[in-house]
Amino acid sequence: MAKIAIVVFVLHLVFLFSNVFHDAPNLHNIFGNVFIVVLSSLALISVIFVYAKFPENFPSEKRGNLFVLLGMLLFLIGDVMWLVDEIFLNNKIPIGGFADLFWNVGYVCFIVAIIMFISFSFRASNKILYWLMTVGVLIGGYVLYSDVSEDLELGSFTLSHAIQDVYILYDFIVLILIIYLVWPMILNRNRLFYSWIILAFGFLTRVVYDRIFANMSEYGTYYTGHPIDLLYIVFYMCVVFVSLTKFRIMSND
Amino acid sequence: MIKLILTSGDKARNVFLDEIKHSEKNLVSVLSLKSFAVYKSNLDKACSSRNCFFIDTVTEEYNDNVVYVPASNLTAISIAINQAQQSFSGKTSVIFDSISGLGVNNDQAILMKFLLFLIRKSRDWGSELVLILPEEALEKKYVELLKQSCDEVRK
Repeated sequence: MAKIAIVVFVLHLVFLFSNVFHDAPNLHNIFGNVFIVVLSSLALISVIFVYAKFPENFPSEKRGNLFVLLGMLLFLIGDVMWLVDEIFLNNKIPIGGFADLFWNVGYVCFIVAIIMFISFSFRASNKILYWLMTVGVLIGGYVLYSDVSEDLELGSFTLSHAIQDVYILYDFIVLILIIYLVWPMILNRNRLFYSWIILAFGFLTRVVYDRIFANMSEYGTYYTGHPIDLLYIVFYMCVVFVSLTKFRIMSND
Repeated sequence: MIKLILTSGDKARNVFLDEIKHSEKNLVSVLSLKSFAVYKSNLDKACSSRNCFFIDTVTEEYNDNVVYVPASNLTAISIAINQAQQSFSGKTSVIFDSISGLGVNNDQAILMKFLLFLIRKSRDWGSELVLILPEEALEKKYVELLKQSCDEVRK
């Protein structure tokens, strides 16, 4: 599974940076979408394998994995919807469509999953979480406020902008929870923790991608197959590697 | 089964090695009193026909079945215990060589919260938890609380 994902990832990378379909934007669009859907499918399949093998006597982690599985399924459906919208319905950059609906619910699943993952480890106190939440709410609130107020001032506050703003909220929640989850493991080069650190890195790339995507789509500079999609697919690759690492731990490999 | 073994500091090592001999086929052990290197010959012998995983909190030791986690990082220790158990199928024993080593690096009230968390989790995991405690290592009120929380208390 990981080998197939690496091959698809490398092909996608070559595609993103080689400008191979420079004179055929439609073909570029099709390949850009198809690569993402294939990687997203591989990520989902790898998560299904892990969930199926996960022991029943670790209930909070097993439930967390179920929510990751649901999140990945919704992200895949979102990717397919985006592909259908762009290729078959000819809507370029269909923000505010069905794809966003599935990605939104997918994000909620990931947030629930991270909360469940946090609950399986001992925490001496919740002070760090409260501290992170305060900082996160302040920064997130400020970014949200400046985005919305700028849109209102320019008279460009539309559904698609509102949806992009909701992602800011998700991103900050995910960021805070991820920092809280991996904080105790980050300085420890311990192979038992690799899967968590890879997962955290994957979410971070997603958060960064969302911010850049929001800005690019606002200024009309984004197109499917843009090199920035690298961050998007790194998230799926991370999910594949997390699954592989977990599978190895569970197989005592 | 949650076992608390009260002993004296000088007997803790022998009690620990004895408990390992009588543990389940799968073993996860947290070493907080002495490093893996000190126990190595005894542990290699005891683990020749079973699955063992050691979390060394004393010195940085990494090999196939040993990882290092600092004694002061109780969160990381709890995650390591959880993850290590997932590498085995079947019943697992989780054995601490001594709680006193963790007591030196952590506030006793927090250590107590950690132990109660582990006791609760061990019941969820269906694993055997063995806590070896030199009696002088913890304040009396904490020892009493531990006694009440364990299924079996031995001297």
